[in-house]
Amino acid sequence: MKKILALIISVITALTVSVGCANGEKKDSVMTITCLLNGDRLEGENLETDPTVEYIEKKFNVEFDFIFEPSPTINEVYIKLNMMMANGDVPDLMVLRADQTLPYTCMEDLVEAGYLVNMKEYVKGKESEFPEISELVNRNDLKTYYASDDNLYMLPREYVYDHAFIYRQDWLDELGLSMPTNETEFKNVLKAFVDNDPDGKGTTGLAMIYGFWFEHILAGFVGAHRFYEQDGELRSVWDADGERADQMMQGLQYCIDLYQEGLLYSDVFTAMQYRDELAMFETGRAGVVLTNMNVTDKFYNNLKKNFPDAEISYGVWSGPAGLARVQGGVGYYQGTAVNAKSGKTDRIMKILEYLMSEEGEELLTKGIEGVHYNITDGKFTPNLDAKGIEYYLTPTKHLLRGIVGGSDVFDEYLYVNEWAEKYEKFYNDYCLNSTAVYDMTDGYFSRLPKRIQAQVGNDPEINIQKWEGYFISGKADGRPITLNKDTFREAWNDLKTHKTDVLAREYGKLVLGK
Amino acid sequence: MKNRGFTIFNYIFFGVLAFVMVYPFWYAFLSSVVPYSDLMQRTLPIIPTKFDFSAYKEILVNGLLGDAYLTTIKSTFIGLALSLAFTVSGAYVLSIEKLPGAKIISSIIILTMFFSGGLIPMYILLSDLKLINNFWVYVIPSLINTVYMFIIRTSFTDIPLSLREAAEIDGASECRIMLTIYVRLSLPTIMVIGLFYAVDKWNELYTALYFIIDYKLYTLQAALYNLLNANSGTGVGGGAIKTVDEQVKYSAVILTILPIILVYPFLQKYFTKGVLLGSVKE
Amino acid sequence: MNKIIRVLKKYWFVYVLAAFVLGFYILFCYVPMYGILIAFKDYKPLLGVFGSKWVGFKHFYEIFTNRNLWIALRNTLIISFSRLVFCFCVPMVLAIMLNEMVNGPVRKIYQTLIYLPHFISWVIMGGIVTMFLSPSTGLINKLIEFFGGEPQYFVMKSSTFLPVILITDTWKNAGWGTIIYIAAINGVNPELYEAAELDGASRIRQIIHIMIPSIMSMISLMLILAVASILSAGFDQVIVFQNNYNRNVSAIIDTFVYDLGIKGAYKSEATVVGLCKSIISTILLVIADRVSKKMGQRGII
Repeated sequence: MKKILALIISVITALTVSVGCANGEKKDSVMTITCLLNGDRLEGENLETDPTVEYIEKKFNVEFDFIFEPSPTINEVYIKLNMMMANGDVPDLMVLRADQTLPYTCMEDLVEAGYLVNMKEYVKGKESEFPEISELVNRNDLKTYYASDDNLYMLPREYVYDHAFIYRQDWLDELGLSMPTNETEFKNVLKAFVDNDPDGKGTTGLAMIYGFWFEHILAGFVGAHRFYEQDGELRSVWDADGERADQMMQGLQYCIDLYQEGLLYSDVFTAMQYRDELAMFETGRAGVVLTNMNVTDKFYNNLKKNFPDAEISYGVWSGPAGLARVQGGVGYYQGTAVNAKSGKTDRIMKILEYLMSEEGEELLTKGIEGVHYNITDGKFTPNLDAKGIEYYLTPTKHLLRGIVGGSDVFDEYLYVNEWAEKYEKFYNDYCLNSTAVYDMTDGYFSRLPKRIQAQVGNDPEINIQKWEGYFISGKADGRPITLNKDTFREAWNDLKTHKTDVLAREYGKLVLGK
Repeated sequence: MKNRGFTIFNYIFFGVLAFVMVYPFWYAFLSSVVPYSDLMQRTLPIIPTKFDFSAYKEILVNGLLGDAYLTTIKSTFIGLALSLAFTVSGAYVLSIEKLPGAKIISSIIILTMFFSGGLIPMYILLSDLKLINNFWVYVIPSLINTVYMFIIRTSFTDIPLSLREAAEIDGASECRIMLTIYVRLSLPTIMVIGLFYAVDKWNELYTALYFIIDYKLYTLQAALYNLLNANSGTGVGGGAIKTVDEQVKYSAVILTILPIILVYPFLQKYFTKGVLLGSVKE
Repeated sequence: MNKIIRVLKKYWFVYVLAAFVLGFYILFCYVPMYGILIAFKDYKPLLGVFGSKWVGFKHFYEIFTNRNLWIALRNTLIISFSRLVFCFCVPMVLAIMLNEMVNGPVRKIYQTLIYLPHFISWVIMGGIVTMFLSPSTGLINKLIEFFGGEPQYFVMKSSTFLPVILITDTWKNAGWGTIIYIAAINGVNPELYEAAELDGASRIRQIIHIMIPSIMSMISLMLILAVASILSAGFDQVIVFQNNYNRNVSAIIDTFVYDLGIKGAYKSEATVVGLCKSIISTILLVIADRVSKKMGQRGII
């Protein structure tokens, strides 16, 4: 008798529990979302207890599982993704890139196997539910984010190119100079800096890191750099037979003059340490530095410690062909892709929509009221002791901004800093509205036919930078070299052996649609 | 009879050599303790007068290196013990000329030195073995370094067979022969290999980067790599640590080398002790 | 049958050890070896190695018609041979010289100091070297200027690449390499030296005729391994010193593969090169082993 009773009780209990569990799965169980990002893993540790992240988690009943991968050359995180894919683990949410071959191939593979949400398809018919995402995916300047089947599988994240010449305003004031507006004035300012050496530390005038940064200066002479249209084809600006050869030589000669006259950081070609240029600026050994504006918060305090009277300002000058400034294409070609086969797609899309909405943007740029800031009598006061506040004090904002689109917003937080006002002005004048697009071919390399990529090698810029270095330093592999029509042709011949002309033609087919 | 002139030359030569060898290390040490602005000026004094340990503080406090140190020490000791056990065993097996099947065994092993399936199958295998994100991934997949095993084997085969034959006549088992003859006589070499294994484990980087997800399980080198190379591609400045970039890099070097430098001199006496008396080596 | 039982009784312990060791190799080396198939497939991670399409030797063809491979091969051989000629003997010579020193605190200090650079990563070493060679602030150029010369742009010349590689390799690794030779030297019975001394042999003759033959087995092992790995020219080091200006001499097979396999995501092509390297290395190993056996050493196989 007891046995039968026990059996009945246990059966009833089992049924109740299972029903309760089933209901619980629908309501109470927390959904884990794996999120693959690049950055350091410390960020992952910090994010797990970040108040903003916890707020979002609670709101949507999810738990983020961030998988970070330190990725100094951008590619490491995609090696990891490849391994995970080979093992059959595809993250629920991941940041992909369209410009580099490895991440682009990852995207293509995922698309081929049906793992990625087709963004336009997803929001079709749901515009009222997903207003922000719908607006974003229907922009017509997103060509470089598309996969080869002409569909959009990632939400572009917008990142504004914020390069600028940063000047020691106190030096300019002391020497009675105004911000240079053209290349002659720029050179004069540098000369004045070097001759007068206001801080007495010895100065090299302009500090910048090597590499593509010369493109800014050259842009003032040759326009949108690297490739231009002539006779329906794309040509390289190094093409000795092209229309812009003379302008290119002019620009190169200007850089050569800067270097030979000692107005440019003399180790620019040989220094391997990235960050040398900031160090020179901080220690008063350079009066101008060409770098990202958003590192201001990194060097400003050091500068003030060394020179309490130092002031900085942001500027750009114009050469014969326009602004000495290049602007990247939308978003550094990074975007957020969502796993279509995880069963978590709907919730993730809702979270993304939320983060892009006004409320979400406030959250990611200001934080949580009462935690990160307070509004007392209509006045915004940041709480500088709050956990995770450092995310809001940098111009690039909270880490989760990397997941969603939306341009960087300038806000009250940054006014904690002295440089904020000038930063904002330059940002609005030049960064947001600049039309000096870097390169119409930027981000297209991964779309070239494989055999072309293999012929050209994966760094077509290497050989161009090599010749920049030769001309500007005046020494080509040990022998002295001066810039003239013959040596420029010699450079172009060398670039042709590395298929730069082939590259131009192939880009033309892609970009000009031939 | 030692040549006087040569002795003097030897001391001076090594004095200069040691100075040259030490210089990068000394430079790294200087760079890590000198005030940041001096470092940026690239004017380093020969002997530092002002000390600035802020980089070390940043690493040890903000960098959460405590866990990394522990993990690395654990993996070094455990890995060393297991690796030596397996390696010495393997070397012994390969050293017996008369062993039936010796050629097959050694061919199987040598082939693995050159042919490899690559990273992806390894990742899949480790995932199946549940070694991903698991402490034991530092120890188990790298139990035997074939080159090291051959070094010990070479040391074993240098031991004259007469010793073995004598022991066999006395009726000693293989186990006994291995331990009392081969291992004992090759002790300096085995200790050297032990040192090599320990250093390899101590400097382990890529295992952690590829196969570990949890930051707490990172080895020392991986944690430092993480700190120094963090890419702010997603747009975050991170903590104050970024402003002492270069100093952190050099401090990282010092923190990694220091334990080894402190330990090695004690091990040296084992290497220079030489063969134990009482045996015969022709 | 009896013979088998006898063998097992004698060597059972050895076979047990062999089982553990082989077990390790089979699990962690042979099981993943199917990855080699990637070289013959149009590999897609999501389809797996076996699910990807078979393309035979297509990738091999693409690789071998890529002129960058042959440039890389030429450079690799030049660097490896130079290393063998200039760097191989240094640890050995240093070990012998050190051994001549009286066993005291000075010798111990020297021994410790010379291996220190081994622990400095190539990245940091590269930074230090670049500073040394800087045209404006570098020590070397300051010396040149002192003697009336013009500052050299060392880093921008392709002719400086090989000397820099060889010198920094010795600087970094020679000291560490002495350790294994010192251990081997200490394994030589001191009575042998005494006997030779009684016969009237000078120290140099003692070294040449006793010490070196005694450690010859170690030397030949190192040499065989070095020859077999001739196609690996030291990726970690080269990638640090490689830049836009010396690429025509600094591109080695491993950096060629790196450029393809990682930056280009051409996993199949990378596996192809890896496979070819493996085959060649094995052949070289067998040859080197035969040669060393002919010269009286035991060899490796």
